[in-house]
Amino acid sequence: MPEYDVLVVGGGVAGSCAALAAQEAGARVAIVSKTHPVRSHAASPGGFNASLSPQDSPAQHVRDSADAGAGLCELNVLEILCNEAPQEALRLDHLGVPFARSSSGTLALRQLNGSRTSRTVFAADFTGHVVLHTLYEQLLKAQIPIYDEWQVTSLIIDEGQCHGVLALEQRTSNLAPFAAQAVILATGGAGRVYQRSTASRSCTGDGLSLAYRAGMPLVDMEMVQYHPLGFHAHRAFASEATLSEGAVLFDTGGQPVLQSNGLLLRDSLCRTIAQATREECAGRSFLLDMRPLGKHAIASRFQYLQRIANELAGVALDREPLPVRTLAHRLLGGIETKTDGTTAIPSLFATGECAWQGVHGANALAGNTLTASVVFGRRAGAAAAAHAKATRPLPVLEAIVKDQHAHLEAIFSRQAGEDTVVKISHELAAIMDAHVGLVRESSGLAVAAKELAALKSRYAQVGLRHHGKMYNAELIAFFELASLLDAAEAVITAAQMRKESRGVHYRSDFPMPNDYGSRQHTVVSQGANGPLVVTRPVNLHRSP
Amino acid sequence: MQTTFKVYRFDPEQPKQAGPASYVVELPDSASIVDGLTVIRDEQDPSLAFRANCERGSCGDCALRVNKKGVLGCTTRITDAIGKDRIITVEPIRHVPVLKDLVYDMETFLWRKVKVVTPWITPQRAEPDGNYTVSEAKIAEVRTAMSCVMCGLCDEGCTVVAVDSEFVGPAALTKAYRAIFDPRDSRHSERLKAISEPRGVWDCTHCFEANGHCPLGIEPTSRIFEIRDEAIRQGIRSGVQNPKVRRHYDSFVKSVKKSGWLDEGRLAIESEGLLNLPGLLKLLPTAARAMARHKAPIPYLHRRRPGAKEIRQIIEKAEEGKP
Repeated sequence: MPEYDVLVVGGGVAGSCAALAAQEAGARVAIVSKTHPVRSHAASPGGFNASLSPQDSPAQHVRDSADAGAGLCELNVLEILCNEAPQEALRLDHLGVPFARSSSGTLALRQLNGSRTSRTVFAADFTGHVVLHTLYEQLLKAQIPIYDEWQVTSLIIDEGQCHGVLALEQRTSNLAPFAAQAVILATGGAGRVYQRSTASRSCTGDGLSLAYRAGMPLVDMEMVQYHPLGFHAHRAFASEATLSEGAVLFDTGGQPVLQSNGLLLRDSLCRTIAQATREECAGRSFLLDMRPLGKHAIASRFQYLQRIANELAGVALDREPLPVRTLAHRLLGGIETKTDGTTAIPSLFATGECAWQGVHGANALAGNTLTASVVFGRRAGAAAAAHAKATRPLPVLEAIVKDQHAHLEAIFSRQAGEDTVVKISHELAAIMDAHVGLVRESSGLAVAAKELAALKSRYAQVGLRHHGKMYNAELIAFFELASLLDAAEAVITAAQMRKESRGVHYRSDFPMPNDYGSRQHTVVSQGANGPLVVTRPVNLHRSP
Repeated sequence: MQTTFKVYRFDPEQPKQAGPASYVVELPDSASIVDGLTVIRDEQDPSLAFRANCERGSCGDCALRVNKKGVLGCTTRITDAIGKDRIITVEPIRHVPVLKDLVYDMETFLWRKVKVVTPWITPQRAEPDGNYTVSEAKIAEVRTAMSCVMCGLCDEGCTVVAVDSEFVGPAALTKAYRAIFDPRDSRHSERLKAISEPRGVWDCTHCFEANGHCPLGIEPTSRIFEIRDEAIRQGIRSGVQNPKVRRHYDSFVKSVKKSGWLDEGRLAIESEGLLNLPGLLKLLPTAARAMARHKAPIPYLHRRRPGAKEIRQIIEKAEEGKP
């Protein structure tokens, strides 16, 4: 059985940062990931926020983030993010991320919507991509073992400690235990609970679900960030940097949507688009007009968008506008963690999109999500290494391994009926799009909750149509569907609980924020008879 | 629109049944090849295996051969791919072991080669102190090379990888370019020396297929040329550790200097080495076949081409400028 000090589940930006930091701290580390690291979902085209300009400061960065976060940011955690961001940006530059330079050769900064100053280091419109690939180079340098195309199916938890994971090799469908003194979940988001989303196929909430089933609370799960500039018929999207750099967004009637500063926060922008396209003329799109930037700027600063608009939408950006719509983009809530990634289970850590630390609040400042993955990824890696050093390895219980093997055999032996994994997944996504999207209200959420319960009981019965062992996509989808159902349950439950509109969470039956009394986080956990939800006051105190 | 897909199927447990299978599916015009394969798997055949993740041309997971052309399956629309016969054939990319259906062995094909070129930079500065000043023009080239999604389509089209799976290939060389030309790296000449060894940058036959096959317009062939130019500028001659490559290089220059063009017979013999009997014997079958087709060049009896004198002068001039 492979044994490590620290096992990282997921090889994206946060997972790679965690693995590298854990190894730097002296731990024996490995990555288990259902995709190869460079295939991971890295959807932060606009850049990485860090107060590097002399006119900027971490305090201003905190202020802008907190304003965007609409009262749900944990300020002491936000301070950590903003204080550590500049050093992390320089470190990424040091490792070889090809960030854009100013005329003097120093790091160039761009301004994204919501920031009052230029604060974002960037690499054209594929910053997340080059950060991911630079981190992959570092994984190779560090010779960290990578078990790619392994789907983690369960955590090995015994006596309140996590001793490792069980994972299924996609190539063979073999189930194998991996022992570790600390496990870091860095599995990304759950965007695939929606059909209309920017999410990659891998974004199925696996880590969220593993933690949820282990009894851990998920915080602010109703906060689903939508992206205003999604492609009309695809999952691609234009960076919001297009707007701050001169592109104009036109509504369905041909009127420009934005004020001249172009810095409307993304939650307001998304609602404007959603409302207009719904009320005025369904089927017509908003249009993103890149022509004011000119041919050269489009080619040098938005080269990914230029290519993909041409290939997917058949639009030449220097000649015609691009039809856009809102798409579900990322979760702002997740597994409750402290600033070093620790969870309620001492040897289990979480980081990246699957984790909640309280920095994004109810609306993430554009450019902060990539920063958070790097800052908190590294912190989680270092803390996990320290935890592993301070504890002794415990044997993985054979009974747990045996139990999982029996579970897998039971799945294989289920007879396929009319119902299929694919049907349930599609229906789930349709329900989430219809009732738990940008605009929510009580009756729609109730319908979603009821439908979800029905889907869960169907899932309990569904069989596989294909029983082959090599690259059985239906088997993987079966495990992913369980995760998606858990993630959707948490989103719906939290959305029902929050009877106000705040940030990205808009309730048409409660259109205003409830500012009487203290502001609250929602906290969902799995109970014996369904989800339990409570609220908890936001910590508005800064660190001393 | 109704579309017929002919999809290559291979199950290692039933290898004799390998071959194309036909599926007819109804798809919207905006659908991609990956959308089509997904509908086939969801509605008709759950055993179909293929890779895909981002569905927006940025992860590189879905490189496939569609109607005999290497493409990213998620950004290729069926309306663009469909042929006159209204059929879309989908196969795995070439030169790579197939594991199942459209899933192939990326470790053998590309990941191991990326490791060979040690693409991580070795920073000049000890600490990330924020003091790198780098020109945007230089970093923009590195950035474009790093926009590579590692789909492997350039290797799929490469005419050398087709005959020598150990050639490091254009994808890994594009990764090497990224490190060689990164102004923050401190191992510039060390990298150039390593990449100049056999199966490295000089094994490219400059057929330009990689440029034609790259779905992102990164132009891997042009990157390879830039690495070569830089190696020459730095006075790094290939084959320092491999006398055969060195002899090939020397013979090439001597031949062109003498007659103004390449004496291919002489090049073959001198590359093997005049005293290397086993090596020379290996050339005999090729020489015999060439002779049978009246294409055998007679070594050393090489006609001087017009302008040979000027060509010689150009070479001598270039040699004077050598470091």
